[in-house]
Amino acid sequence: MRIGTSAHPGRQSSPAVVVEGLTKRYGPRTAVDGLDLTVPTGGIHALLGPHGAGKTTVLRILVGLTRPQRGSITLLGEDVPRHLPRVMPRVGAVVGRPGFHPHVSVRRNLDVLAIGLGIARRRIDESLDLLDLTGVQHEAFRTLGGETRQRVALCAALMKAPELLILDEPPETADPQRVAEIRTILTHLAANGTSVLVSSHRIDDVQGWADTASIIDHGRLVIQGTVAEIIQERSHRVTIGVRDAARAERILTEHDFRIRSRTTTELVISVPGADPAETARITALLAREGLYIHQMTTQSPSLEDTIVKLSRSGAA
Amino acid sequence: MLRALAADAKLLRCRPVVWVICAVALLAIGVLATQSVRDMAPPTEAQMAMAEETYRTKLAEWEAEHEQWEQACIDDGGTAEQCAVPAPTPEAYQPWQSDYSDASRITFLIAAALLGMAMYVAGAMFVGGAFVSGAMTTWLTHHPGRLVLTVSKLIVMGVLALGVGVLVFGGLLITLNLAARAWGVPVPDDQFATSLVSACRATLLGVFSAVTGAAASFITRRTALAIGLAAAYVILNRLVVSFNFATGVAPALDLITQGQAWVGGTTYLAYWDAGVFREVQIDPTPGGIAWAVLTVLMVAAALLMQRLRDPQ
Repeated sequence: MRIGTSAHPGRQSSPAVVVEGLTKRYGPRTAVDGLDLTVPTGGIHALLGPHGAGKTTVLRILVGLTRPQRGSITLLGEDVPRHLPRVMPRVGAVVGRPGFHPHVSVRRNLDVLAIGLGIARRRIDESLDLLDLTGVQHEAFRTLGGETRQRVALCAALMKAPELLILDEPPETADPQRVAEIRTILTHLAANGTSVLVSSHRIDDVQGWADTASIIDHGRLVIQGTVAEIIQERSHRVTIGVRDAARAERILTEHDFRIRSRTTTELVISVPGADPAETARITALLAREGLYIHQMTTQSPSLEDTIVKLSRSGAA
Repeated sequence: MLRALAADAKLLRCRPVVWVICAVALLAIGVLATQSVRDMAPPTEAQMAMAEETYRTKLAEWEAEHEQWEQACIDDGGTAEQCAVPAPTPEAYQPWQSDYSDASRITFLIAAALLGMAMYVAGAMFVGGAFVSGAMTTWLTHHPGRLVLTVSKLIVMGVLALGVGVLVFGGLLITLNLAARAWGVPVPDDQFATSLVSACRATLLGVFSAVTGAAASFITRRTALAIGLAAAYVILNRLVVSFNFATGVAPALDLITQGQAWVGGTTYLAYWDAGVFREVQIDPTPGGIAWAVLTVLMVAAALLMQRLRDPQ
């Protein structure tokens, strides 16, 4: 299923990533099954899917860590893996566990990468500063915590001033300020023309900062479009408590609301998207008829629920 | 390729474990080589006096008891000729003083064995550590050239071994010659040339070991497994050779003796054959060829594995 186009239509030239019929099998298990995927140039594109959907395999194939059995890939207009050495200097990537020499300092680990890539030392300093890593640059990599290690890996990717940034699961941290900082950096990069492809198993992780998204499951594309459009496809579950649930059901059904279940005093309603105006409309419709809501909860569906729903509608 | 080499050279400088291994090997070589070089020193007066004392004691013992010993032997069924116990001679109790040839041979053999082992372990740790830590995957994420990466690491390890080898064996050659001159030990021209060849071969053996160790880690992707592989070979090789499990083939597969012959000159490999102790002569030249072939095969296998197997 494919809906919408790039969130950056003005900047759209050829897509940053085009994947067609990509297939990767590990013995009898098919990790990626004829996947078609397009990542627009510029903006942030989220690759979503539950655990085991094939996201990491797709990203590993894109950067040449894994070779597919079938399919074609174009990265920044170059065929890969054939022209991978030509295109990789323009691509920054963090795929899998951040791995650096544990007894070597952060700075020296980055120096070694920079020497290999022919990157100026100035770029290392800028990237360290951008990710607030200057203070730990002389510490051995093994002494760092998980979140700092992820930032070091991101720093290595950003040193290249990439045109395409590929991130396998954005850095997770308990510190919301740090999450916000990294999202700001990625948003800023995207605004300046970098195409960011980020994978996640949670749609809520990318809601609000990714522009477009693809959902994959069992190695196949389920849906692709703007995040807003995909969110719209998700039916949120609104549970309300009222004195006369049967009457409330009649009123809401007349106004095209879909009722999922009802007890004497409780009604569960399906609301497409996460539009607060819809919940406000429910309150207003019932109040007009003299029914006042004494309790209301909204539940977002999981990514798995969304995939199941979209797969069913696609099959239908 | 040049950038990859520069990056690996920088990385090697940052890996303390490699330098610790080199330092330990140099220390061990220093201690053991000092002993073998000192064997060229003329005996001291104290050693001479002790040797004289031992000789006199043994002579007195012989004079007092040799008739009894001979009689006991004849009583056990021996002939007078068989049972004759010769008198001890002063020469037999002279303190040991090795000549230049022996001293250089033993020194280079010890140093080559120790440096070879150290270089193998250093090579295995340099590459294995990158796999275990995940740094190899990070590197390949940014530099997709797997073969360039492999060749670069092998070259850097080879160059390190060459540098350390030149330092060690050059140092040993100078020390041996200075010591020989200081103690008045004659150094024939052909013996110096032989020592120089031994030093060059020992240096090359270190290079082969380092590259083989690094290649073993590219194949196994685990430092411990690469080192374990070498240890298993040493143990298995001893068993095969000692009990002659593979008559005819065993000497060719015994790379340790082959290397020994290459560095130290013709060697004799002893083994049991149906209850009889036999010896086979191992010439120097095949040893060098055997090590070169092993290194080339290991490098080819490492390149193939890197090409075929995706990083973790």
